[in-house]
Amino acid sequence: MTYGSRIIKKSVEMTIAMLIIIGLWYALAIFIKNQMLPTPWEAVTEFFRIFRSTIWVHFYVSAYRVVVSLLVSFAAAVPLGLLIGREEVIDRFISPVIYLIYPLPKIVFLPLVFLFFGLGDFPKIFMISMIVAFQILVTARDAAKGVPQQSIYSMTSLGASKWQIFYHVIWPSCLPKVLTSLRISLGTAIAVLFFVETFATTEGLGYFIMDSWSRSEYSEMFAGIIGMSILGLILYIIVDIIDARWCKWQKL
Amino acid sequence: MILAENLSLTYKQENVHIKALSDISCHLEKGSSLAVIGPSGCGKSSLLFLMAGLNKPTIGKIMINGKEPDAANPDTALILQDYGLFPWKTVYENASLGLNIRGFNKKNQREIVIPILEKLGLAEFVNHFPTQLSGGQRQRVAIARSLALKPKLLLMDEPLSSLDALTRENLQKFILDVWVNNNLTLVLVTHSIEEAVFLGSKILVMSDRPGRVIDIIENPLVGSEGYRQSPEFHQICSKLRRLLGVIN
Repeated sequence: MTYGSRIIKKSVEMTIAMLIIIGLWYALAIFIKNQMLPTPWEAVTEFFRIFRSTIWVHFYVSAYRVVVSLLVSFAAAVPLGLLIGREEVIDRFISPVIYLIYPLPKIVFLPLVFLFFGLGDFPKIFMISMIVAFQILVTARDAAKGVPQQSIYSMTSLGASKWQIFYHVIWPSCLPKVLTSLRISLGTAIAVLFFVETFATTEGLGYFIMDSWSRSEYSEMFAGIIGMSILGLILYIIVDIIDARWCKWQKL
Repeated sequence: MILAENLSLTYKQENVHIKALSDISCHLEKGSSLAVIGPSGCGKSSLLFLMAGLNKPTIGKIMINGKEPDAANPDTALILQDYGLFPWKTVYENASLGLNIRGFNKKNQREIVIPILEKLGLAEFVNHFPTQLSGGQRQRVAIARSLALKPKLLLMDEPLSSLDALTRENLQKFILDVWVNNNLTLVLVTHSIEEAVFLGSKILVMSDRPGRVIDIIENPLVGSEGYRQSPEFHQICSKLRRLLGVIN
């Protein structure tokens, strides 16, 4: 199948899926008959009506926070994870620490993080990054551990340095797993984003949703929810595109 | 070319010392070939890894051209059974990897690799990934990568064991041609008796672990026309079967 026809096929599938979801939503809205759950039509019109005036600003701020967080955690966690996975000495010291911290719900440190870093964007980005980085770190480490020793021998016998082994073997062989972990962490990242945006800020979709709720503006609230969903979807698609480009060999 | 004296190798696995090789001595002249055969787990691959410089003997010494083997030595190329090619690299990228690592520029890499791929019948597959190739084609890519570095010594660890019988015989002929045409010294680890006799001008027969030398058989007719059909070929095969304790 060509690249173009694959995109068309995927778009058709997505459209059908969306229609099904909207249909279910519509049925539920009619069934419940409560103003807290507007019909899809009302929510979508509201979304477009206030997009330029309100939603866009919040969308932009939220997107900025979550994208920076993802980039930071990816850039920090992947190299570190791969290194821990390959270097036994480092692994022996760091892995027990990870083992203890990993199951801890990092979100409970939110008050402390706000206390130390103030109320701007930084503590929010810090919080999301910390949570996401751990998930990516553990995946990258385990993926790097799983690289067969034979592959390393092959490289060594070609005269490769440590750095060349990382570049040619460890990184590309772990990338599919790392991207999967990134995909999974996307959901977490947006959930955490929502949570941190409900505190001490007047910007971001999380704030907008909670604010609309407190004002009983349910159509607006749903416009915010749609905004958050679109943010998640766009990020998901971006990871998919990266996956298709960098891990072409996996899809043969 | 290769001189091994009283090699022993012991390694540690989960706190247990395992003796892999015991008192192995052999020598191999430049331009000849050595087939190493023995039961599985007898340390054949360990012996090859010592020659490749990926491991050091516990006792004894091994010299290649008067020097201790060094993994980074460009004169030695190693081909492993399954993991030699990287699935994320195309045929061309895999074949030029050695040159790439050794810092050849893009233009030089092309000039060296493309003719080799053409000669090995892989020209139309340069942009394919290994998973799109047959097992035999994959082994040829692995061989192309080694030849690109113009090695003097080619070490192969059961290179054909995952192939079907027909492809296998074709590739044995192919390896024979590569060996003869490139002035190589060849060491080949195998568990196939026919393969050892077809490719080794010397055949080192190893015992069960810890691997010891049971016998070293001279096989002077290797590479001669129609050797596979000749009575000498079958005599040596029978001798090997006897030495390896295979009951006919």
